[in-house]
Amino acid sequence: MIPTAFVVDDDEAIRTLWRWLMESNGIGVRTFASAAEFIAGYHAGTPGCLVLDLKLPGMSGLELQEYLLRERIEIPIVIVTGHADVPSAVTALKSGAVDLIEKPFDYRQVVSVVRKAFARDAENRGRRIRGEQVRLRVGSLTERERAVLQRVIEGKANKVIAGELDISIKTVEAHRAKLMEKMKVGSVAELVQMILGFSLMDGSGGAR
Amino acid sequence: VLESWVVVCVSFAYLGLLFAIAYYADQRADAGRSVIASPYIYSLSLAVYATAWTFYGSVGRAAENGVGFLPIYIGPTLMIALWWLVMRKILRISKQNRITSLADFIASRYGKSALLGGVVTVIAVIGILPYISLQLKAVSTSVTTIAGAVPELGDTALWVALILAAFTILFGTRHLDAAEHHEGMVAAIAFESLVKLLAFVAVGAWVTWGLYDGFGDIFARAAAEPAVSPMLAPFGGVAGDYSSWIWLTMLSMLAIMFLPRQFQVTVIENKDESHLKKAIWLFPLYMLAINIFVLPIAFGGLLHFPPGANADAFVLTLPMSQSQELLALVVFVGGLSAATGMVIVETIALSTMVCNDLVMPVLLRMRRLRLNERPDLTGLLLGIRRGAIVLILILGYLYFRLAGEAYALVSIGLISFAAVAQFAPAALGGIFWKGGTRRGALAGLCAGFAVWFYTLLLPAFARSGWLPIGFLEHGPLGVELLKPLALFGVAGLDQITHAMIWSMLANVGGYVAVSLLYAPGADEHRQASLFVDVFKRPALGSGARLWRGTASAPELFNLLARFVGLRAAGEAFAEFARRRGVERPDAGGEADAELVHFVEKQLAGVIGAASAHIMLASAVKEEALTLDEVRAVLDEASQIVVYSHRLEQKSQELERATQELRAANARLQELDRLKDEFVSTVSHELRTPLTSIRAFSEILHDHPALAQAERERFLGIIITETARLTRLINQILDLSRIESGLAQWRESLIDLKSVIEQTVAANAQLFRERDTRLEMRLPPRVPQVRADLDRIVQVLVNLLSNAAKFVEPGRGRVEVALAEEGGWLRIDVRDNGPGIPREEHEIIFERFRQGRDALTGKPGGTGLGLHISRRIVEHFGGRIWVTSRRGEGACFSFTLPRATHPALEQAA
Repeated sequence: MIPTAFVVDDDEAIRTLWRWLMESNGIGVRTFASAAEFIAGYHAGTPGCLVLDLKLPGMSGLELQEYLLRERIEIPIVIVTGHADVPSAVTALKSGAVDLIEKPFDYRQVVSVVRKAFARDAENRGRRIRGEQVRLRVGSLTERERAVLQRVIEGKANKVIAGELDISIKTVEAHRAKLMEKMKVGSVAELVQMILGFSLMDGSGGAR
Repeated sequence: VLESWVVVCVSFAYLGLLFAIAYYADQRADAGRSVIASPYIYSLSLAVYATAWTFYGSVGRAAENGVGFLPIYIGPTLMIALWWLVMRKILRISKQNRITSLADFIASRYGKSALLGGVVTVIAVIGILPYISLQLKAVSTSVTTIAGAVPELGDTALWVALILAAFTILFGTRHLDAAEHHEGMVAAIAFESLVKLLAFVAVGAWVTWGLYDGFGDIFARAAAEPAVSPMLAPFGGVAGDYSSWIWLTMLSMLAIMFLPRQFQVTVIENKDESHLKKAIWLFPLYMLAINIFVLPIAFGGLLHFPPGANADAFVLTLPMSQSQELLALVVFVGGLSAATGMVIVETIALSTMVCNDLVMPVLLRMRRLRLNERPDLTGLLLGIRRGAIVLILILGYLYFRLAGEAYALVSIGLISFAAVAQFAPAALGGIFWKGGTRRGALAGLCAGFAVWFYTLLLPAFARSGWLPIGFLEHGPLGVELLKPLALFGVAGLDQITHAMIWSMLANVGGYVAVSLLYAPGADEHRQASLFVDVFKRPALGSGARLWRGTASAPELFNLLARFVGLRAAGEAFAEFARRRGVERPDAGGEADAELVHFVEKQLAGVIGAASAHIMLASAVKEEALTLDEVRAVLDEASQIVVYSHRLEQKSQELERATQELRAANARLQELDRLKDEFVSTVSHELRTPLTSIRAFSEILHDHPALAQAERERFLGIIITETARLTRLINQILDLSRIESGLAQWRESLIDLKSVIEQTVAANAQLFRERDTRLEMRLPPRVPQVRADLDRIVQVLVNLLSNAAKFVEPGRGRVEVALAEEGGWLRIDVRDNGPGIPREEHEIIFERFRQGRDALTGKPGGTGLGLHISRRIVEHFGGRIWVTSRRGEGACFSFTLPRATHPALEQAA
């Protein structure tokens, strides 16, 4: 799917401007006159970014941002603001907005801002997907394999693991080989990075 | 008949016993272990109210008119219920000011007036004489009744008077007490009250159950006897009519407070204010107990003796007729007891008044006597008092001889009651009404006393043959209107009711009228405040600070020592020093106001406030305080009293102020926030079109190869946005001028009809563009309004362009109407657009708060038009509003007041 710039601005001329800017650069674009329209028209699966004017009739830009956080809708937000609205801009950035464009802006710059936001979005999505994959792989492990995995990550030798689980070293080695295969990793280092990177193991078999 | 020597011996023995009790109590008091510091003793001592009158007279009265004797006891019972309100105040005042007598109390209240004290004393002495004579009469009658005439004694009453004088001197004037406390006397009186109660109950019980067969029997027999039965009816008939019941009750209500002896035992001898609480129910109980057998004895006597027997003596004659000699003796002792108690306390109280308020002030003023220089005056004081006691009893005896024979006991007593009732207005008014003045009190007392003298005392002398009886029957010199018993033709009342009505009228009238007529002096003002506000004032405020002058401490010491003796004065000064934590001040040096006041109070305890005041004036150089100064000091003192109250108020005020500040701060912050928001809104509103203009012109500049249609579209946007920016800037400037008051308003008389017609014509293009029908409904002629033509056009254009903007092109209809409504002209601009939801009706008139259509998004306005329109309309005294519902179009209306000047209207 091509990433799309979702632009929310109550000014018709500005929306026209955004549409032309994006389209002439081959970027997908959709414009909305209010936060409510955006909420109604946005599909969470669509990659891209949100270009959000803070001064909006009805639900304000900050309120929309808060709403997205609350609903766990992850989309990089580029804030558009008038110069005097510093406190709102600060609040928006603190709440995780990725960039800020000040009106009147240089039209040549905004394309790169949007592209950067896209990259962030892609990164987020990639991480989310990888995390999902690792979660699935961990899910495919047996109870005993997960117990061994836990101890491998903790850096314990096979002999120690065998003692703790009251099984033979040979069995430990077999479990270990099996789980490396299931997790699709070639080394322990790779395995540790994968698990800790996503903090996926929790509960009884959780990573420390 | 008993042997006379037995009677005499028993009498002396009883008096001796009383004295022994008094002596013992005095000893205990000196040792600091008072026997009378008990509410029961206090209550019993109040029963000195029950005298020989009660003991013998009540029966006599009851034998004459049944329950007619009762008001005399109902009154005190009612009054005592009010004591927590009235007597507690008198007590507090008296303690704070070391009051020594009723005369002292009244004199103190009205600026320590010696004259007033003297007048009160004279009235009290004259008024009480009949009462004392009553006791003498009762005792001598009882002696002759029980022992027969005792020829060797000669005149029994005289002997009784002299013996009682001797005992009174023993009881009351053995030594001087700085506070006029007579503990021994009080103890003896309490005992005496028990004795007379027991004696009366004994004879009552004997008559009821010994002579007859209980209450039922006596009352049944009485009812059967035609001569006695009328007395069973409670009201009307023989028992007296309602008015005399009411007046007798009132009279005795006042008597229980203002009889000198009652004032003595209730106020002067009181040890503890809280004793009042018990007395309030114990005393009525005593009254009930001593009255319960009155009717049985009276009826018993009437049934037993032939008509015409002396009913006053029934209590004695009944047992004697049955040879119950021991009982008769007990009754005699009870009667003697009642009379003795009354005489002792009354004469002590009177002698104190005579000494302190009559003789001493006069002596002290007589410079020839050089009294000021005598080293010790205690002997003189005691001498005066003893002389006064003897004199009073002799006078009482003389009254008995002159007038006493003609009256029954109760009638004699009521004359005295009426006399002391004259003190009520000045005394009660004095503690509740600050406006009462010395002149007022003098006027009231003198007027009331004069009427009393004329309507009660003179007739008593006339009846006894000392004045021509024609004086009663035809008035003085034959003037019928002035008949003493029917003054100004008021007849048909009994003598007491008649006298009370007139004397109280004169007394209260004189007191109030004269008080209101003459302003009080500084002294009176101060004392009035001290008395009336006694509960509001801390103890220290008893007058010390209201003095300014110089005196030497040793001089003050000598002064006090002259009256109370060296030892007592030394003790007093030591006490003063100890209380204030200073050295004994008599060593030397200047006396301060506290010390002067202290000495005056000590002196007042011995010689009364008025005399003390005079004495002190001779010893200290006092600078007269002006009324204003006194007032200022009093106000200051009052302020201290209300200090805590004020403090509380202040802290509440502070709290309120803090809250107001907090609220104001919040409002400021809100204003600040609104200002920031306004600035940021303006900034945003300006930057948005600027962004479009800049971006599109740069695009056009950077992309020469842009398609023609695209170029034109972008140029169109640039042009529109530039126009919008211009409009916006103009309106912001306009608004800021209006808000800062810098706007120019050019007022003139304008005709709205032509204004509308011109404006509509000028904007017709707008409607043609949107294919909208525009209609006008204008009356042929309307009054003019006074306003700025350009501004009104501005409002109209704003409303018209709004309407054009919101209607659906092709189907739009806009109607402009003008109408006259009362003093107003009203313009409506109605459209058939989407309408405005109710909740936005107010908001749209605020700046940058535009109405929005969900379908088309933001209209191309600036968000200031309606706000500016409202400013303009309101500037000219009108109102602007919208009526609309979603989907039903909107109607914007505004009003302007018509120019009211008809001439101008004509001219136009």
